Amino acid sequence: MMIPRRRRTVRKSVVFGGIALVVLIVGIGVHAQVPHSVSSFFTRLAYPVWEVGASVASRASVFDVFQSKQTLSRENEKLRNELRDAQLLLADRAVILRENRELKAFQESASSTQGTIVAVLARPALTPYDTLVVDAGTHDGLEKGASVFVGEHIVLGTIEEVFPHTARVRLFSSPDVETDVFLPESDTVTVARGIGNGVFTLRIPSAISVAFHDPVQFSGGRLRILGFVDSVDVSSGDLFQTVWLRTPVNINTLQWVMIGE
Amino acid sequence: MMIATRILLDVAVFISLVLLPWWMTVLLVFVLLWYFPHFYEAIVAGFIIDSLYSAPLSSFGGFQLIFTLGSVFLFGIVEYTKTKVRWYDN
Repeated sequence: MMIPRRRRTVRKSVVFGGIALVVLIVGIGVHAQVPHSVSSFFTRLAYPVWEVGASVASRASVFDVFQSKQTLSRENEKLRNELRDAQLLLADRAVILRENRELKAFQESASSTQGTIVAVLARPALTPYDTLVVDAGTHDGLEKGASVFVGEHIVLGTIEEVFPHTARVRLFSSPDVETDVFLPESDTVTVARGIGNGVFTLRIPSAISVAFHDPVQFSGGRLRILGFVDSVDVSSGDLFQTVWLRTPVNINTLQWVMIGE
Repeated sequence: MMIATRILLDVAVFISLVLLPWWMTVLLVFVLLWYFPHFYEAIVAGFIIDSLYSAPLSSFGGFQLIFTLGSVFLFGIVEYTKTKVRWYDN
């Protein structure tokens, strides 16, 4: 069947236009970030919607009276998860005690984290890149590169982009993010690789003993916890084992974080 | 009437990408790509997602506009498929 010349020309220009658009997007995406002003513009548009969403989420308990059996079952599951998270948080006490002893031995004083507590507006499941959006920005004195904590010693990520009223946090568990870590129980220094949603993996020799709930700290002077061992994969004959870590808090339900240095 | 519906649904897409999990927005956009002719807003939605949440991923060579590029491909595939299937009323 013959295609009219005009239609062929249109089709050709659509194909070339599409290819040019893809090349342009790849070029911009590889060599530069989305311009800060563009991100800032969309963040300003999204801010009131996030505020309303956060406010609705906090008032949802008013409707608890109308809970169904299914909701109660979900609530039960949620409470179990919270209990598990709380147990993991308690596990960091052993690390604190250990560090306290070390610090006493060296006659140094512990440095506590000073920071600002901010609300989380968007978190993974909503955000596709394993990033958080927090309700504070340049107007609140936030700076790029500041650490994001939960509690005093658990570090989740760093501020990557700051806007007037909000900031974007990149979690250490974001896919491909590599962090130097230290396993105090086995005196091992290695690299943890984020795989998303508060989960990390690390590869260490099979000869090193690792147990469930073992803490994993950032390597360096100050006590900063990245996560706790969740499971270990050891194949027979393999010289290395894969250790799965999890942040002590559930990233998907995070309501508040602390920003500090 | 069609334009009013389209604008209303554009607003719905924006609210969904700010408040709902990202995969729900992708699902909504996919449906709208079929419902409206040349739903260019899909590409804009991809760009807004990247603007709001993106972080460079080393497995993509530091590329940051994954959703923008994905939406361009999705747009192209759906528009091409529309011309090839009999049941779609152009």
